[in-house]
Amino acid sequence: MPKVLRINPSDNVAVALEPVGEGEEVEVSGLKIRAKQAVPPGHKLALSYIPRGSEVVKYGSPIGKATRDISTGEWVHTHNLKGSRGRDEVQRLPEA
Amino acid sequence: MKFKGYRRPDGRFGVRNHVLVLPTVSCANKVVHVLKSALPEVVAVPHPYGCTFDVEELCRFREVLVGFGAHPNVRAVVLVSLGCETTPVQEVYEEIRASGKPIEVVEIQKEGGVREALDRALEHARRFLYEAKDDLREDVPLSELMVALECGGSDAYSGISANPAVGEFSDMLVAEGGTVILSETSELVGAEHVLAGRAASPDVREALIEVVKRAERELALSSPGADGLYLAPGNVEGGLTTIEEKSLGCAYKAGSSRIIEVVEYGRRPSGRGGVVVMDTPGYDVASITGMVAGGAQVVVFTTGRGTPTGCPIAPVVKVCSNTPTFLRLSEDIDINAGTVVDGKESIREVGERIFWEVLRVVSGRRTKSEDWPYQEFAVAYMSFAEKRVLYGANSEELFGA
Repeated sequence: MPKVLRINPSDNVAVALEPVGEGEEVEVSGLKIRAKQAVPPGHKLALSYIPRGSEVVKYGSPIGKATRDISTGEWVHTHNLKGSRGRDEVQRLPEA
Repeated sequence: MKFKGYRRPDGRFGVRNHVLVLPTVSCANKVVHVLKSALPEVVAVPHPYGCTFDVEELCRFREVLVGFGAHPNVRAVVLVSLGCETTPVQEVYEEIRASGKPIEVVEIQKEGGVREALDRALEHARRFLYEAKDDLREDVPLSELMVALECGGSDAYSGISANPAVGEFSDMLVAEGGTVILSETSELVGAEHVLAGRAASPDVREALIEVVKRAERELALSSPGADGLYLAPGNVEGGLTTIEEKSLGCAYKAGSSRIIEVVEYGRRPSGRGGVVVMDTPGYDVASITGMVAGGAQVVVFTTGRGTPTGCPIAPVVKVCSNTPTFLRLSEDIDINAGTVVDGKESIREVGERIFWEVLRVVSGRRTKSEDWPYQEFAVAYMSFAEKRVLYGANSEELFGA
């Protein structure tokens, strides 16, 4: 497996399978991404610019929304991504 | 394909031949503890339940008691009662007896105390163990196998290695006519669109969406301060950020087969040959207890952070998502799926390895969790929030909230 894995072609984040150092350049499905911060193993890295309020996609499905503008190569976690489900204001499911 | 199992009078097949000693109320635990130390071959399940006026709690506990007592992995049962508990001991006894297996009840108040009850319970347990001695396993088709799927201590590798590999296993088992149970409804929130597409009928699809909706409301009501972050600290440290992300990784365990039924906690599924969704909480021990009460004979449990959880009456096959955790907890974990991350095996290859290991385990091989004398047991009681979700508007009056 690669050092950083994009699980689904439509994902805008990839998973670090090994520690990625700050400033390190990694190759993810043909893209060359420079890590803005260190990314611990198992954590996510943005593959493109994700504007605040837009969806973060992993496994080909939305996993929540960006709470800040996320630039390419940024570490994506609780500081810039929040889930959309099970929250007080969002108690209704989309009609699947 | 076949495994070697024990035929039971009710037509089901066991993968173990346990003599189960079960207190009907926690007040009887002492007898059960001492009996276990005197007779280590029995399975003893001390627990904190059995006396409540909460109708929901009583029903669930009663269902789990009957589910465990009548379970195909159990050959014979000794119930230990105090005598004055709210558990309907006679009804539980009758329902377990209806499965055709030997059962005895020992009542502490009637026997004249712990010492007398212990003597009587030991007498029954020794006889049951003696009777079980010559039982033989026979060939059983895999269509008789129901496997509980569980994940606990998940990390970001769980959705990449262990869960997809278990998904391969699930597909292989279902292809043989077997059944898997997917559980932990709160960990389907955000993944239900993936599963709903595989529902065998519109009714099943609707039931699935409904239980997930219920779990989502419950999450929001039960921890308003969490603001959407329904993950354990270890999950977050491991790289998971949202419940949707965790759920999508979890749902891989069920593979790509049809969802044939959605059942309530602890209930026995009526169908087979596909995926059953059971509405259980995200608490591993209570979730496993519910699926085993529903008749699952074996548990396949994926973990990233590592966990020693077992079940008193069903073997638990532990599958680890990453090699470092597998090596650190090697005495508690059976299979390493971290080889996928290491680039040494494909998901399919690990799935096949799980399949063959489960076949060995259900035919008698002990799992790592079975080497310890006590195993975890917990009944999923309805939380305050769950009741509010169920009773809706009336909850204001009922609970004064």
